[in-house]
Amino acid sequence: MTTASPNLNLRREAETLAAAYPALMAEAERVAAVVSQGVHGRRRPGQGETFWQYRNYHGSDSAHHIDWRRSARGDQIFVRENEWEAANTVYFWRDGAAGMDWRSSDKLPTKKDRASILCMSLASLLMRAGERCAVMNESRRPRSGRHGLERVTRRLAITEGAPENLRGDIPAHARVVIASDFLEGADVWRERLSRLSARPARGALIHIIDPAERAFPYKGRMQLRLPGNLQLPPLLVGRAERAQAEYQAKFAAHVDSIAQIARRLDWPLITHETDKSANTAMTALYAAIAGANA
Amino acid sequence: MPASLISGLIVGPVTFLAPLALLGLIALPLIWWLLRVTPPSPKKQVFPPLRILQDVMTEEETPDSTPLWLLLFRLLLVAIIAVALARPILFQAEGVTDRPVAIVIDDGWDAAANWNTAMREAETRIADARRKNLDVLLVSSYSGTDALPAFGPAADAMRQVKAMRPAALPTNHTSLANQLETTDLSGSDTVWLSSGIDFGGAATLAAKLETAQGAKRLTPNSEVSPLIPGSAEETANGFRAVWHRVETNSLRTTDVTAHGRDGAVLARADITFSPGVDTTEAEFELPSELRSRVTALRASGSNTAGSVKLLDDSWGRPLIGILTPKADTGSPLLSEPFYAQTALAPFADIYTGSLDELLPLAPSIIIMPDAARTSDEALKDFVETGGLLIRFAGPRLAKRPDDLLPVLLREGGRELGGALTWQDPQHIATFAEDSPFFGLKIPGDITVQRQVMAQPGAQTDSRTWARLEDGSPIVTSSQQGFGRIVLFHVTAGPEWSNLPVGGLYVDMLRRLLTLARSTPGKLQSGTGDWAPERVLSGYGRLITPPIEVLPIANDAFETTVISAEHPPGLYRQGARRKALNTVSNPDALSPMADYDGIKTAPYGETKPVTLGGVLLGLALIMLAIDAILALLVSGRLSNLRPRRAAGLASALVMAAIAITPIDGHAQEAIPTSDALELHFAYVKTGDARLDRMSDAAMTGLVTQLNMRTTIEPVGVRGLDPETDSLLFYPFLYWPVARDAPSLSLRASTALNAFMAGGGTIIFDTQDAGDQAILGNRTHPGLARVTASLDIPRLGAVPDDHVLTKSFYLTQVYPGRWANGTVWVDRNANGSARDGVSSVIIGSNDWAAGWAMDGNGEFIQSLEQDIPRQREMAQRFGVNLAMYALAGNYKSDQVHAAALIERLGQPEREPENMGPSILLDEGDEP
Repeated sequence: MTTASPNLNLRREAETLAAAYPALMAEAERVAAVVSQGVHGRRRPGQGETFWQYRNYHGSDSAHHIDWRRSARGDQIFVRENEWEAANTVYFWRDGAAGMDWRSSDKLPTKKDRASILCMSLASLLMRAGERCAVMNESRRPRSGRHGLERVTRRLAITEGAPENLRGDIPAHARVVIASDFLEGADVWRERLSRLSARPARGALIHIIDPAERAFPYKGRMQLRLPGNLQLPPLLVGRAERAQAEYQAKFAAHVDSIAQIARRLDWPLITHETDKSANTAMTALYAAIAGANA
Repeated sequence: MPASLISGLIVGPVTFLAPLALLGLIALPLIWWLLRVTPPSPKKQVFPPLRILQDVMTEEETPDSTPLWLLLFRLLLVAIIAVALARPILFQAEGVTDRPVAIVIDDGWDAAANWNTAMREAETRIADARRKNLDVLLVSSYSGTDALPAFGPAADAMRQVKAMRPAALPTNHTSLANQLETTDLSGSDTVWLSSGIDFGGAATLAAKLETAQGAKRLTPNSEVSPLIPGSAEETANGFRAVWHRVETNSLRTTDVTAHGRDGAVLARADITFSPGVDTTEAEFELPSELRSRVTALRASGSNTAGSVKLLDDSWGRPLIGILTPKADTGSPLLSEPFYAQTALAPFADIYTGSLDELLPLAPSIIIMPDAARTSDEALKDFVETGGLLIRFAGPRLAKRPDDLLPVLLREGGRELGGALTWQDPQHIATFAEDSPFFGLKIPGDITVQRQVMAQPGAQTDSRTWARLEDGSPIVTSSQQGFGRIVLFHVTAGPEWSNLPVGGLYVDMLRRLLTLARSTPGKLQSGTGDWAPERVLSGYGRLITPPIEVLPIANDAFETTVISAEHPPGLYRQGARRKALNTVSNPDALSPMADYDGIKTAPYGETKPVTLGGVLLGLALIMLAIDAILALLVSGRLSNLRPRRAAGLASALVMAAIAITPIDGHAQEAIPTSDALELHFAYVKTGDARLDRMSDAAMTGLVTQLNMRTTIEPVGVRGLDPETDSLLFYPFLYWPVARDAPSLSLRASTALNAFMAGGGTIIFDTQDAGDQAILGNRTHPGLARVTASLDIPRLGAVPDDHVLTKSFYLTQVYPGRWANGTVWVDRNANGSARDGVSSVIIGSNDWAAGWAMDGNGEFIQSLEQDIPRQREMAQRFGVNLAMYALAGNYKSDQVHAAALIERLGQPEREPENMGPSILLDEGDEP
């Protein structure tokens, strides 16, 4: 019970957030290659399960397309066409590094929580629109519908978010949403994202920043260390306030470089600070995905 | 060297008592090293973008160490602690000498108040001399041995000083000078630890002391100079004591306590000496019973025998009993005891009553007017055992003399200046020399119209204290047993003469008072010695007399001067007790002058100053500062700031709340429209439940009145008499709880004005049901509330009271209960209030009977003490409102039928008779 309750809380928060948006329909750019069949019709004949129309048989049609039952009623030969139905698949990857599970003050959520909330909200929106969602390399298959949402959000809440998952097998032209603080360095991420982009896949990046990471509000003698395992010895700073300006510049450069990578890949990037409302980020995310689909 | 290290290390003026603790200073370099190598611990912080930061600062700038100034600060801190632990003592150079020291100590009562300071001074000097191996000479009035004083080892002197106690006698400076007669003081220092009071011999001593090489006199400051009691005399409501002081330099305020026999403090009075003033008075207010129990007066803060005044048998106002006739119903100006009582009231404590009531009080004088004449055996005993009986003549005595008389009387009186007599009224002759009245001036207008006549004779002559101009006795007196009888041959009142209305009467009675200053049984004088009972110690405590104290011969007591054989204290002869006070004549004391060749200095200058405490305190403060500095250095000081700001903010908010006047209630103005529309009001008690009930009760009453009568009140007001205007309300319903507080001045003024202006207050104690438990005890809340109100004399509601017929005819006043008594102004047609009682006090919880909720339903159940109690309660409420509004208007209506009949009109049917129909309603079945 106790372990489930934070997840439930996260989910509830995410649902509330998602409720504020109209159903978002992710446009798939390339439909033909999408193998799986979805639920919403395209008002065009195509691959699907719902009957669309009968039309006269052309010579170019394959013989097994002929609807014999209809054709037997008269002299003409009809071909049965179904409505073209398509659904997109969106893969989520939420960074689960130790640094994500950190907040500078008790009043703020951890970066991980905020990332989870954003991802889950988006998933909720997408699945309401009939899209299928999955957690990259962790969900066995993309799912949709109410039950699917349960499973995906649960998975999003507890996902390890290991970087290896980014190498996971995703179908070409799938959509990818990556939420992270991108602190492993611009080079690492450039490499990771290029590979995804070459899949080919398109996606959106959510850059989560704790306000203290941007502002470096510390003073005096400080011993700073990385969260999690001690891969790096603690750094002793004599007068933290002296390094502030330089650090801020450096961090801004880091944010810039992430933005540059996104621009080069033509992926939308949403930069979100945890002291801001999650709604702001969702608005941006919505606009970004809607814009990308326009 | 080691020995000196253990006993003390002297560095300049500073002596270290525990010099080994200074070894702690060796630790300083160690601390230096430790502080240098241990930087303040950093604040730990998890920081994910550490890699980015690492690019900024790859290396810690410098190994951060304690800043030098902090290092020095901490070293200083440790050094101070080490020095403080070595118990440094600072001697001022002034008190230090290298010559033998002669110490003269005033050890009389005059030094007792300052004794501890003087002893500390002596010990300091002797200790100093001991350290320097100098001889010491110790001289004192009472503590020394018989041997002549001589210089001796300081250690002996120290022992001697430790055993010294102040005596209860004055310091004898002359004898001190005599002791030093043969001693050569040249080549030595003398220190005179003086009390500052000169008993006459100080100059002699000073002349001897100034032969020393360095002479110095220490004098106490005026705060410890003894306060000396002077005379004490009784006043009408207490007594007054004069206090003196010798040292008049400063303002001095203290208090004087009056103690009983067991030492209990009976009274306390403040005394204040202005600078330059040496006399002041302490006024005590004390009832006479307590006053006669006072046995000693003491000045607080001046614990010396000189500040104690012992009081003996001569103390205390005489207690006078005046026999009053059993039923003395006459007006006071005509009653006999009145004149004697008025004349004596300023000088004595007077009790009136029957003999049985008076004798247990043990009065010293009994005054017996003729109307209260008795020859009871108890009265005879009273006189036989030493009481003084003052009798006045009168018609009864004239008719039949009895045996409690100083002279034989002839039967019948003598009338002068009457319609049927020849003689003019007689004047009083000049008093003879052997009369106690001798010397009193006799006004010419004193005349005597009637008197009882004494049988002439030699005995009568010798017993006569005052005569008329024709020689007939007017005051006679004789011894009887241990006591005495004084007979005025006229009445105590002005019937027979105008003596009682003149000033002479007062003077004569005053002279008689001195004949009986004490309680009976102690009047008899003895001739034995006065044995010491309790004597004063130098500190002014009463102690068992030491063995050397001797009794004082009876005739020598008055002239006895206090000495070691006769110390001040209480002395006893049989049942009598006399006090020998320390100071008989405070005016003879004078402050010591400045003598040539002797330096005068205050006490306390050579007191060694212990520095340890100061240094440790300083170290603690530095430690506190160091804590802040440590935070500052480690950059964590800012952590404190928000919390401190929040604390400050919350403190400010609290203060703002505290000083914001809670005036929401006070400003709840009563609309002046209450003047136009009738409102009923109740007094808010602050108890929410009571107030709700009162509100509901008034609402119910308003409803009933609207339903039943032409009185149409529109609403109900709850009032606080302290803040709200009471102008517009005919009456106030006031439920009084047992814990009701007393009224403020403002509230009681407002309520008294309300009652004076015609308002009625209905007090309801709401406890008739508890009467069985409470009995008729005073209701504490009601007593408190009404203490400051003008409550008239009350009586239970009579059967014909207007309250019983102002609307309904009813004889019951029920609320929740029906059997509580209701009290109203006893005077039914009193004052200008139109016969309306200003208060109605009951306990029936009327609110319960009247209370209605918003739906017009009764909300309280009643006890059903009487049938139809609810209806009766309503009827009483209606009557009450009618009574408060219409006054005694209805009291006339009972006669309406008779009046109409008198007008000659045929009596009509009741329903046409207007108001009287209402009178009948109460009689409906």
